[in-house]
Amino acid sequence: MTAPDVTTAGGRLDLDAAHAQMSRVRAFEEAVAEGHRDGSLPGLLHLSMGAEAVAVGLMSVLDLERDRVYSSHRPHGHFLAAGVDPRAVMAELAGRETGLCRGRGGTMHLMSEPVVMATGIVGGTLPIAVGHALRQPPGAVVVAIFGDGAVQTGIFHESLNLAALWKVPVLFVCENNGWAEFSSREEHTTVGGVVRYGDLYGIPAAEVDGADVAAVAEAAAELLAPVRDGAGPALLECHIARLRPHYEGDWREHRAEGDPLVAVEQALVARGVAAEALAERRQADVHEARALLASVLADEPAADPRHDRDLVFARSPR
Amino acid sequence: MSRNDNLVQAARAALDDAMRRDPAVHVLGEDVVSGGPFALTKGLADRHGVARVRNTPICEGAFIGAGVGLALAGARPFVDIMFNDFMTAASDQLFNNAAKLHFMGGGRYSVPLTVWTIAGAGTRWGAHHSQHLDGWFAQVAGLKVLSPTTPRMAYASVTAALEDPDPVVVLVDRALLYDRVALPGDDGDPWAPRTVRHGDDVTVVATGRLVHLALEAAEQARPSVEVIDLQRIAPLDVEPILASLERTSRLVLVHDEAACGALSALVESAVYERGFWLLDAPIRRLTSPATPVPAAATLEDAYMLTADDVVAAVEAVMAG
Amino acid sequence: MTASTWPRLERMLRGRRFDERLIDVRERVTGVFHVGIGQEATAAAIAAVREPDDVLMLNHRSHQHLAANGTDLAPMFAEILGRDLGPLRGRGGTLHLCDADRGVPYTSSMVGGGVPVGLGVALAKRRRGEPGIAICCFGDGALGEGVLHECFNIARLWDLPVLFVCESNSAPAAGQATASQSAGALTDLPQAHRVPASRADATDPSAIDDAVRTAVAAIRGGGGPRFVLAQTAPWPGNATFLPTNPLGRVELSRAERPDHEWDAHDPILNEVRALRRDGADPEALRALDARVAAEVEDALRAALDAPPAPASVAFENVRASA
Repeated sequence: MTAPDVTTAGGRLDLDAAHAQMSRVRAFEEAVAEGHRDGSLPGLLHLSMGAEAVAVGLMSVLDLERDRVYSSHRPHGHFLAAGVDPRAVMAELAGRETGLCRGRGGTMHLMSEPVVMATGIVGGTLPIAVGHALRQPPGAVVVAIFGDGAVQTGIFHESLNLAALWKVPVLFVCENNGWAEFSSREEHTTVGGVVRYGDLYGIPAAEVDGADVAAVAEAAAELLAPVRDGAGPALLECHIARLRPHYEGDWREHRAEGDPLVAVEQALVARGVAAEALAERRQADVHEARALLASVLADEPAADPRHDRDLVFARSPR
Repeated sequence: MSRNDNLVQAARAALDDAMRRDPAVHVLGEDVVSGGPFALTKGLADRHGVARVRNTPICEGAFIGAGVGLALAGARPFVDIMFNDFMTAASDQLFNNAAKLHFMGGGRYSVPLTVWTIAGAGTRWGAHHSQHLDGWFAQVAGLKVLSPTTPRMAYASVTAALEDPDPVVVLVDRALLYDRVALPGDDGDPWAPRTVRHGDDVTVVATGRLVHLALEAAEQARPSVEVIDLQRIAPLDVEPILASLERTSRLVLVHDEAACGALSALVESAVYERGFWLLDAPIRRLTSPATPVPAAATLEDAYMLTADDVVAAVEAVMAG
Repeated sequence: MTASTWPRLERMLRGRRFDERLIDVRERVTGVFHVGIGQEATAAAIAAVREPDDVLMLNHRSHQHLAANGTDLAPMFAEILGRDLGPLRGRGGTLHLCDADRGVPYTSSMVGGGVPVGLGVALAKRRRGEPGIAICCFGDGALGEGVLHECFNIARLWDLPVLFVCESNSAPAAGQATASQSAGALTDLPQAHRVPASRADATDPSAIDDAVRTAVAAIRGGGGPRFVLAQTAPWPGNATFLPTNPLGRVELSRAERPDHEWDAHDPILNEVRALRRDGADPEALRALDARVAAEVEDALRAALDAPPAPASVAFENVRASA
């Protein structure tokens, strides 16, 4: 499974292709939000509006034949940007037998080949990424994506220390949106930035404007080069805005500024791309995502509970 | 393994043999390079290298999680948790990830993780180093738990666990680590309960060191006692117990755990559910009291079950 | 403890003589135990600044702290030896020693296990405007546990009156703080969470005393949490299960005539050296030592004479109510 190529022949980020990817991710999430509102997609959905540039920029510099990604509770954008079939993702959210996880995992437990797993436990995939990286072939990496809320967990520190001690090829990517569930970063810690934890563990670290897809791609590529060479782990802090509340259905008011789609559209328009064309693409993607949801709901079979027992173990004991 | 091996030596032999056969087997844990406090992994780092036998800092959450990651990447990790009491620090990774990944992923991934850990009182080490948390593991769907009671079964259990595609906790009674006693059925299936003594009047089901104690009690008790070594703590298999009850109709359960613990309760309720009409008397359940494990010798001795306790229970169940 | 001309030395000797005798009778100790030999100066420094409202969270290596703090030695021996004279009547043993009257309500033997509890006590005091601070002691190994980081962060975030004391007996390794820590220095870890940290040579009693005093003064002045790294030289008798005493009972004369290389790192001998430089009378020092040794001997005898913990107490105190 390969990610859609958003690079040019020269390997640089193709901004228009990136926009197309980001637009599809955004449209998917909007359709999911609508599905939640009308009751057709139950579950605890954490949507990734505002994080699209990180997902697309990051995946653009990975070789997903060999690299692996571990995601968070806000995973949809990561899976889609990694080229996972949107129908299979939507079917999983809709609890269908043909979903990524046959309906057993749902939004917080999506799994695929390139993006191994999401998690409902903050920080839960960090040590798993470290262990997985021990077995990556030379030159291949594991990317572990987490939010700024995870930085205050003990498991974050245990994982970074272990990764640094064992010099594993992990790129830790923090999507810092300044929010951990329902509280701001300031309510969780006196430490402003995340990038400084690189210094603590003696690993290279950088921070980047996470709404700028080209900057994310460039920053990730730069950090990844020595990681691929066996120099050990690195840390990338991406500043983004969480454009939606923590989860769909949250009654709390939430406002944030900094839409990466607006940013990339402005960049494209500055290069002479017609704004209307971009708007039309967005519209078409919204239409397509709605149609995808409707089609999944109509056509995909509901997960069959009779299979549950057989799915507990890979090899069921007597 | 050699014929004279004690349980730890047999387990080490199984791990060593598996590491020789399969380059995917990795060992992680505190002090595993030097062998650890019980010498389980002694010599393995010399033979197989420190890339495959890795010391970890004291961070159970991270190194059980790393075990899950290794498993997802195609390795067969063997993670040593020094005392099962310390599993509390790793519970998220073991219970929420290792145990549930296969199911939550609809079968896409399996987690061939082996966790070796020690349980049990008797050393006067107090409440944080003496628990039997078998029931805690048993009530998490997705975990397999084996509890070998002899060296040959320890060899078989470690071998089977490392070969299994699912997460397996091999939970060994501390009291048996340096034992050499063999039992009938040692060449049998580590996944199945085994009858270690045949009898006609009472069935005693036990785990860990209590299997040996139950055999001692069977010699002393007047009724004819059949002893079953449960061996596989999770998922529970009560078929062999029911088959025994067809003949004896009386059951005594003997487990090292607090009275509020889950393992004995799980066995008891499973038997009542499926074998109520086989019974001529209520099931007797023997456990330790519902307290933390006390440290002082006299207190811990009062806490721990003895062969006399089993004899008394056997005679009581005969009385109805 | 009686008033002493040299309180610091007395505090340290209490712990040392206690642990030496404990090793002598190790065959009678059921279970494992850990001694604080080499770490007495840190304990003395803390004991010197502890006030009645403070709470002290210890770990599996607690004897030197309790002794320095003035805990009665007979009940302490008794608890370790499983006798009915101990504070927990034998339920806890060495790993769960306590002395509620002197600010040690409970000890966890999980690595790092007591630290969050200390934080909770500090939080309660702060919220209620009560006096007192929490002093949490742990070893360098505990810094591997994520919960320590969680505690550093919260202590700073909520400005809690907590002193974190890391008693390190590990050496640096290849550009890292220790073999288990990739950070450059152990003090980097609390500092990353904006908890001010200092490092002191804990084999030098006045150096560690200064460091602890300074930190505690800052905390009592409302400055929030502090971290002190008390670095000692690893003592050769420590072992996984049962310590031995390869250097033998330390005679104060070794301050001038050392018998072993480690004598140069012995905080008690360093204290004697400092006192001698200040003109202390060697006879008076020996008399103090003899008095402490006699107290320890009486305590050990009382503990060995005490009846074993009766079985009935094993099942007491599980819950506060039925």
